[in-house]
Amino acid sequence: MSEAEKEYENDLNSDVETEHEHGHEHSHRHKHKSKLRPFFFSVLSFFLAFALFLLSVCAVLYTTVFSKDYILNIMRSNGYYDMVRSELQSQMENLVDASGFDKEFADSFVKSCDIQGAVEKYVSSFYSGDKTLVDTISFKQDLYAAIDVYINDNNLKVADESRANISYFVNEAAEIYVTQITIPFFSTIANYIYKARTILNITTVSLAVFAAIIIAVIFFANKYKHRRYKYLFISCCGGLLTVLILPTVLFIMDIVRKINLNTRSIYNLFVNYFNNMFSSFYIWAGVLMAASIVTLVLYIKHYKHAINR
Amino acid sequence: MHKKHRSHKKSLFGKDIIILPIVFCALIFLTCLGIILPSTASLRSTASLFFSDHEKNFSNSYVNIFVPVEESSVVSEASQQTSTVQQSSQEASKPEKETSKTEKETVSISSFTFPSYDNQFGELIIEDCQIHAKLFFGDSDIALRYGVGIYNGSFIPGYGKTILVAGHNNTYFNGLKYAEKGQIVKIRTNYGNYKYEITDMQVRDHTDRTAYDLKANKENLIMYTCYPFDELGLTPNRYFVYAKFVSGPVIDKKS
Repeated sequence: MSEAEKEYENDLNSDVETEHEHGHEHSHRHKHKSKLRPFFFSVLSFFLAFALFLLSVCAVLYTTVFSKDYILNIMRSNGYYDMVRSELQSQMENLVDASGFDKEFADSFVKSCDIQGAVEKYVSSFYSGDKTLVDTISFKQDLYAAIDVYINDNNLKVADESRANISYFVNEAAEIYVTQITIPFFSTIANYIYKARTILNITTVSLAVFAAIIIAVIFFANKYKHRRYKYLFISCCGGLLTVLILPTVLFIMDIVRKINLNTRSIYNLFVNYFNNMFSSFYIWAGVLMAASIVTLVLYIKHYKHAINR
Repeated sequence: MHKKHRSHKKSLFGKDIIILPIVFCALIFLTCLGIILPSTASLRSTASLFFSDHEKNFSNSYVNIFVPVEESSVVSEASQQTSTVQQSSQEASKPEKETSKTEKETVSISSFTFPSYDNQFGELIIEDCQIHAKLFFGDSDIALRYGVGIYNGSFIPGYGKTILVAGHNNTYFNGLKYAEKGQIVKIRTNYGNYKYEITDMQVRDHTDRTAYDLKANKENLIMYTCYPFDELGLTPNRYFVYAKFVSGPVIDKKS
């Protein structure tokens, strides 16, 4: 066996404990070298795994929390608007109970309200950095108009002082409407989200560059292809495990379902919002799994190729 | 050569390929926890306030714990526990002494199910006013939709304090407009039956706190609703009907 072949044999895998028929000094040098290299590349792999994990978190945040369409899609697909309408109807029925109107009045009026338009406008305004409140003017005008029709239809006589009572009723109804349309703490959170978008962009780009540098180092600092793919596999696998654990633990703990929120619509929105967010982690875990499988296959292929050589 | 081949096979899926990803995962989590936990302690303690031990029930239905008790008697368990309650057939045959006996009736607080918020635990009847409504503990929307409710800052019948009952003027308390002095208000609960006599009616502003005294040490019933009656919209005045205690078992708070 030539000197080059012996070196190759040692480099093939540092874990392989082959008995070399070399002098003691030569063996010691090889041992020292073989311990330092794996350690260095293991540390690099760790940082790459960390970067991949953080990139996955950033990707999940991009597609969920920082995306206006994400919350609007959840609202559309989980019947949020119907639930809000139903709750508004129920609240209005309570109000008309105390106000002398028929229940049908509340039902027909709520049916005419554009809940979806109001909610989408409210959510969109916050994601675009505006601080708009729910527009109650058109709601009040519509309600006044509906009351006038109700009074005419029922041939009721309303004294001037009763007009004040009707205004009181309309203002209370508008407050209920605002409560139903708004999402608790959303204005506060959305403000932070809007400001954090730039930070997330910088973080994502930095992490991507950092990961690319590590990958380049692993690629160019390793003479043998199988070893490159081995470290890349370890990184992808480490990142994959980390990305998998977080949503799995939260799913098992089932903590999201135990949140205390005022209304069923907000509760369902919250639960679906976070469950979908956790599911997004699984999507990115799938990406990392694919990368792990590819690197593992390449590792095995090149390892066998090296042995055959 | 055979030995070498075996060791290569072993190192293909060596320890590092399996252990390192797990170690990395643990290290990443420890690093994240080390950074996140100390800096988010206040945030986590605040967030914990939003969570409970079980899923929230959003049902609009209510729990009914009202099981009518026979007239002039209290719950059977209370009868066994308290020596003062004697409902013998001999007493029943002496109506002139019944009033004094029932006034002394007591019911142990541990002998009946104390109502929770939004529980229907009785009914309120004023025959002269054509009022017959379910009585709830708490004056929430559910209570006022299905009946009348006791403000939970006041007390339940038999406690020896003020009972403040609310109802809508267009639904269950619409009949209060016919209230007159001397009329009898009956409250039937899951632990005893009570009678009150109307003593006064007043119209007050909704912000007027002097219309009721929740600290009174005398059992009294106050019913209120929006005023004027049969009016469209929400009104700023309240119609108060005051009634004094006539009969019913007293709750024994010590037992």
